[in-house]
Amino acid sequence: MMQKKICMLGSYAVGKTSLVAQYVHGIFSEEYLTTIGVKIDKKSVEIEGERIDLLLWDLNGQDRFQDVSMSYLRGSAGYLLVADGTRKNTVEAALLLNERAQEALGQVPFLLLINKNDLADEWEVDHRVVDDLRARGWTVLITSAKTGTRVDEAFHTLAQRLVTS
Amino acid sequence: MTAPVIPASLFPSLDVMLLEGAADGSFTLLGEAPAWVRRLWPEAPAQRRGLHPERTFLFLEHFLPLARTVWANGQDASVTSEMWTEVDETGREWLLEARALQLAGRSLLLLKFPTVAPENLREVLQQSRELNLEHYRLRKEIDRREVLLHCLVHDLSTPLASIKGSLRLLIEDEMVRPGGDPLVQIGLRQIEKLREMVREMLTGFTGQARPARRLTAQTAPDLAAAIRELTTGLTPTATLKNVRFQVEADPSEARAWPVVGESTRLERVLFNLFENALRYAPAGTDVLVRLVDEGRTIRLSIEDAGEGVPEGEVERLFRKFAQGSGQKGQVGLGLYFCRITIEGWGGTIGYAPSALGGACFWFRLPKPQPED
Repeated sequence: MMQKKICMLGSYAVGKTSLVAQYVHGIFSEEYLTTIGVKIDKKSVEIEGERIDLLLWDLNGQDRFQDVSMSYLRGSAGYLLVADGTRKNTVEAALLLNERAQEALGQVPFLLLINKNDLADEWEVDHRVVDDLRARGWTVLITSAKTGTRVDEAFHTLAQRLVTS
Repeated sequence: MTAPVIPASLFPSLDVMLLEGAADGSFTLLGEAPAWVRRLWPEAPAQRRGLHPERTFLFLEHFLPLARTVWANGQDASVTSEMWTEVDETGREWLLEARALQLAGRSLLLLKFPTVAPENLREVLQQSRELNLEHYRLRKEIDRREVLLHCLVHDLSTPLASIKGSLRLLIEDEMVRPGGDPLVQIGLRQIEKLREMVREMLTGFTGQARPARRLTAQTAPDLAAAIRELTTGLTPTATLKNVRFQVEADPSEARAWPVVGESTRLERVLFNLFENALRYAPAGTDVLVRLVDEGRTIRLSIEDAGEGVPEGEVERLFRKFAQGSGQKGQVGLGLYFCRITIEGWGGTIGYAPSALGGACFWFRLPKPQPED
């Protein structure tokens, strides 16, 4: 069976672990528990009639206390950049991580997920930023790990690109 | 003299699982397995030979290629992996790391807890991040409340001034019925009381925006440093938009540009103005940032080559609490926040059309007074 490694990249507390938990186990916890190092989950999916094992590498979030080791990215077929829609500085952080990921991996498929869509009252990310990124060919999805909004779609879209790229 | 025999229980007592690699890529368990292995890989202690730890600990698929180069290359060489987390059947998380070493011609793999106590590491990280999140949330909430309060106070003062003017006109134009004048005077006195309350609220508000302590050139925020940090942070967005920040300082030599203010608020003011310029600057153009030392004050201007602000909207730019339809968050409060903050520090802020064809937002802030 084909295996594809996918890395989750983003600032701390943007919801990377929650997105994986929602996608793989269909669960969500309000409790924030910081990830140390990396946590790996596996999910089998069927893409265009073929079964694929997705290895989801949930990397620790980046902040001034903990950097993201780019060595974790080795062998990654694609990645999901994750930002928190209620903290606009996490979009900038995602853009910086994207530059580092491209240096490490070259051009591989990726998506930007702006998470926490359920917190509409606290939303900070300007829709024009999203429009700008989309105009440049980025796929940007507004997700919610809590409600599951567009979570399956995000992983499925990336998986499809991994198969066809 | 014979070498002492190392008991098989040594490694498990250190919580280390010791494996030896074979030529076919499998591993053999040496000695006994520590207790944690029974929670995460219960088959291993019984099977002992022909083990493939990478099938249970997926992280090792990433580490073993590196380990094999160590085993192939050097006597007494070793390499340690990054940390990773495993979850057992009960949901408990286990933080692990691997160490590969070549010892006396044997390829050894140690699976163990990290050298740094994971509980301590997690606790420090968790607490620092929770504090950061809470600080961010509180800062946002305070800003929102301050702006709303200021709007409310302004909204109160305008009708009060109007009522006061109307009552005065009634008296001056002798439109009050005989005997009614004392009643109008009571009304005027009550309005004056209300206006005094409004003034006190405004004073309290601007007092909050003022730096809490006396600033010196050493303790005041450095405007140039704040700009450098901000432009660096916005570089990815600028690159995506194909827009470049050009910072001009007069004089141009590297030096500090201290101003009266508070660094966190100053950063928010700058962020609002720079993000605004970046948003409207067309691709392939520059955003020009200019710092001018005016003696007692410093003037900062940010110019873009966008469409600028229509003449009819200029007057309302910094005054009104405006939020566009369909927009979330604090959109529309940015320039208002800039004005009340800059004015709170004794500065001024304004707009003018730019020679680049777009908008030029500027502010002027006093420099800190020399130390006594």
